[in-house]
Amino acid sequence: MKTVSNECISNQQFIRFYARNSLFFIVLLVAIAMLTLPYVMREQNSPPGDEAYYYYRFANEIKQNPVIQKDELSFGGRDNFMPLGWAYLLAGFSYATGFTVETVSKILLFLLGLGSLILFYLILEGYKQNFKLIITSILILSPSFIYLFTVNNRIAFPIFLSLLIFYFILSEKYLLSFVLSLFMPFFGILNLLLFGIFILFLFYFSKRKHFKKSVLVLVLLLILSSLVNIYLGWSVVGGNELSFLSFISDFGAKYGFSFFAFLLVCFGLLFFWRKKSYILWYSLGSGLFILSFKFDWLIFYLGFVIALLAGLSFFNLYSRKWESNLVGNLTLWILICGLIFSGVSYVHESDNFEPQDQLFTVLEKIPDGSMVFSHYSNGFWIEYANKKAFSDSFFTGISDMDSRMEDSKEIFYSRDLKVTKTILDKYGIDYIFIDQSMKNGKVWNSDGEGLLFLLEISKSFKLVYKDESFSVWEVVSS
Amino acid sequence: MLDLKKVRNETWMLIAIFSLVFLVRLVFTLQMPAFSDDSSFIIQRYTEHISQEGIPLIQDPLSYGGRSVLYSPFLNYLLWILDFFLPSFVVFKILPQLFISSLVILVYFIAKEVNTNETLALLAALLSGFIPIIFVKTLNSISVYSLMIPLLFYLIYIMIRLERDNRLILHFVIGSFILAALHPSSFLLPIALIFYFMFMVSESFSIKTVKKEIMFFLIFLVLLLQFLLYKQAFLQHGWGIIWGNVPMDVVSSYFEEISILNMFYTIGVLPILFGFIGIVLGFYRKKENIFLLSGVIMSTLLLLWLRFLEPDIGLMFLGVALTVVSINGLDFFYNYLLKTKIKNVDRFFSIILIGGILIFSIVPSFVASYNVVQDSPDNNDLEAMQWIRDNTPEDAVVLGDVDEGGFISQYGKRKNVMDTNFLLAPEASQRFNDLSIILSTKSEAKALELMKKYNIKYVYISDKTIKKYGELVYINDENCFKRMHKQPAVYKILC
Repeated sequence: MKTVSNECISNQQFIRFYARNSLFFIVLLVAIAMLTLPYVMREQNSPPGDEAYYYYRFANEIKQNPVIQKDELSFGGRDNFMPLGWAYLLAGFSYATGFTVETVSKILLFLLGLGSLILFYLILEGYKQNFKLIITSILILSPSFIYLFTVNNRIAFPIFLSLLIFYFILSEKYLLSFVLSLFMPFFGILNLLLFGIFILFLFYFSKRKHFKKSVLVLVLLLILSSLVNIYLGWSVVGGNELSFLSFISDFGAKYGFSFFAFLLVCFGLLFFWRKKSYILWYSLGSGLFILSFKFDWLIFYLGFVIALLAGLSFFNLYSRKWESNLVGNLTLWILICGLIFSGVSYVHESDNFEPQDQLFTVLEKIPDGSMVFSHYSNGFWIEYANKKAFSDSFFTGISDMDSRMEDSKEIFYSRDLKVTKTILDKYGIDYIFIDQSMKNGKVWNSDGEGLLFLLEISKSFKLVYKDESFSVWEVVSS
Repeated sequence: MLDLKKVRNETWMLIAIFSLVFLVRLVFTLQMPAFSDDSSFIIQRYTEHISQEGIPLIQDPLSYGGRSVLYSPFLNYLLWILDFFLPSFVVFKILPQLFISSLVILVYFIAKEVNTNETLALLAALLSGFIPIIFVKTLNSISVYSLMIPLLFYLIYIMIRLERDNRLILHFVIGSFILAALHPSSFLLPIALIFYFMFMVSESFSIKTVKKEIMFFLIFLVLLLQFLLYKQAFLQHGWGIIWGNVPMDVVSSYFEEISILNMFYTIGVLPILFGFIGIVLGFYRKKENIFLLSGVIMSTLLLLWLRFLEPDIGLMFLGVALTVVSINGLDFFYNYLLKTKIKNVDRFFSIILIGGILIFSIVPSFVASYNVVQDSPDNNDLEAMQWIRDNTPEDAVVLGDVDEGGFISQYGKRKNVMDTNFLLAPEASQRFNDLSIILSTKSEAKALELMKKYNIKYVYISDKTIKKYGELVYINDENCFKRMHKQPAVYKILC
């Protein structure tokens, strides 16, 4: 009898829970669609991303040899400096499941994406149901969210971890959140620092009695993090700089946010400029926005704040009394369409994300271990194909970076064979790899410029492969 | 039944002004066998494609030797629908003139809202019918601005009337959809409304809630439709979309002509002079309608200053807004003169004013229109195109100046090297430079090399091209160029 009664209660609880959150399940379904569509629509077998290939390569190496001291391929060989927490995670799961690193990355990112969404929803617990649904919907349609959890990157896991810790702090499970915080140092000290500062603010404004303890914990974690990073030889990795346009995906940004969400946030200022609690969120958003110009990865954190602020603004428009219902309804529908349009068109565009399969087929024409000169943005792919890259996008810690960049420019633009050959010999460059984007403005604007001219006329270069998109030239030793 | 006796004199006057403007436009338009600008040929061809296939042309086989095109098909669909009921000649030649002539009526009604003096409102209507830049740019062409300018000012009119009549909201909503779907320059109105909002706030005026709502609506609508229509271009050009991939040399040439003197000539002395006086007075007397029209003026000036708007286009909007506002200045001036003790001052003022309109607006419009007539393709040009159509291979590429690309494709039905539809055009700047070299170089080898690059088989040299670039020296080499059509010249490339 007692058992039956318990079952009844649990059934009732489930029904109540379901009734309360049924619409969130629809949001979850949409999230599943948004996170799987980029893979379904991508015609290429190669996963998208550039830095992504850095972690694929290291995850594969870690599987063979768990202790990584040196990166033999980046900049022709250097000490490893990147925090490799994510690569270790990929390697570990790959080892345990037997799946390739690339597949494990897809599955992990997908699960982390859904996990982050659920955590974000749970964090918003105190708010109205409609409000929570609006915010989570804006989040899943946000291009930065889609990119974060579909393209292999080192930020997805720390973001998930941050949300988890934040959730436990809100639930006052401090010990659990502290234990989880211990994993943060493996994913970059800056992640920890940023999240720590945010948590300090949280304690200062809403849980003042724990503030001193939280400062102590953060200092402890930072010391621990520094020790871990020093021991493993990992540097503090800043990130790339962004321009204003890189924030808006509708203008072609790789991982920005929707222009409509951005506008909603701006209009929100008109509604909320007198409300103190919202101003704190706006301050956080502004801070992240400014810092993102210097550290591009912060845009992923910003994506969550933008979703929250845009949701607030939308909710305000949704719940206000419009003098003209026609205009009100149309405006809301336009906004919904705009937000959906940004997300969907981003998913659609993600099919065109580099690299294309053909790139790796072409790189196979170059013997493994050879030194390849190309634009630095191709570096990770060259290294993934097991060739040494003259340069890649990780400039940190390269002692002769300035002279390298100068020499690189000289090679690209000089029409003096002697000069070019001297520099090529200086770095022991064996092959030159050129793709279409380099010819279309990334390096050159027209045929016959600098190196393109020399390649055509000089016998110092031997054509290995050429098609419409790529060409590979061997540097003939004199 | 309409009792004509009850129709007020002002209405008759307005009808007379409208008829005058429309008839003058028709007189000029009907003199020319083809359109006066390249974009009209492109619009006509794309509309004809819709007539045949029912869907907009996405892959244009003739433009730039074949390429993807991106445009708002709204105007094409509208023309296509009208084409069901009316002869093509009427749809393409007469209706655009009717659309732009309707501006006269709109200006009259807006002017009446700004200032109750009916005579001055009629004067503003007359002035708006002969703003030289509008007169020339929309004459004998299927210009999107023939519809865009009246529509934008109709929405402004509704904004003014909304103060008293909420039923016009539906008109505003429909008008906004059409405006936003027509052309990217629809961005001008939301920006104008933002300026209006700022002026109102700065003067501590309260804005009616419904006006705020339609401002929100319009801003989001224009953004959404423009993103939907031009997403591909946004991704390809980024902020460069503002210039629609127009080659920088062409962009610079737009701004070379802009100067204060040029503005007086293209807009007219009276609208500028009394327009700015009208604005100052409007702000001094805190007139809400003036704030709204000043919003249009400020947004146009801002976009012109930032070089986000082609000067000719900006001056068209500026011209109309200043014309409306100018009646405020004229009214002030007139009332001031009445206070003086000069005899028959009102008559004297009227004569001066009409004389001013005649000299500074109507005559410049006529002179500029005469030039348009001179530069438009004539029957000889059409004959040459007929020859190209009948005697050249279907896949031949025909070289003509950039302003003639659309003409070659519409009437000659052959591929052009480039036309004025630059958006998404392949290597537009490079082509523009190469085209200029071909038409101006003295080196036959260089010209032939570039002709080979673009697979050019025929060269069409109109009088307009000769006027612009001078005679082509190398074209007389009979070993490489054979003259196939006498006047205007069409050459076949033999080398």
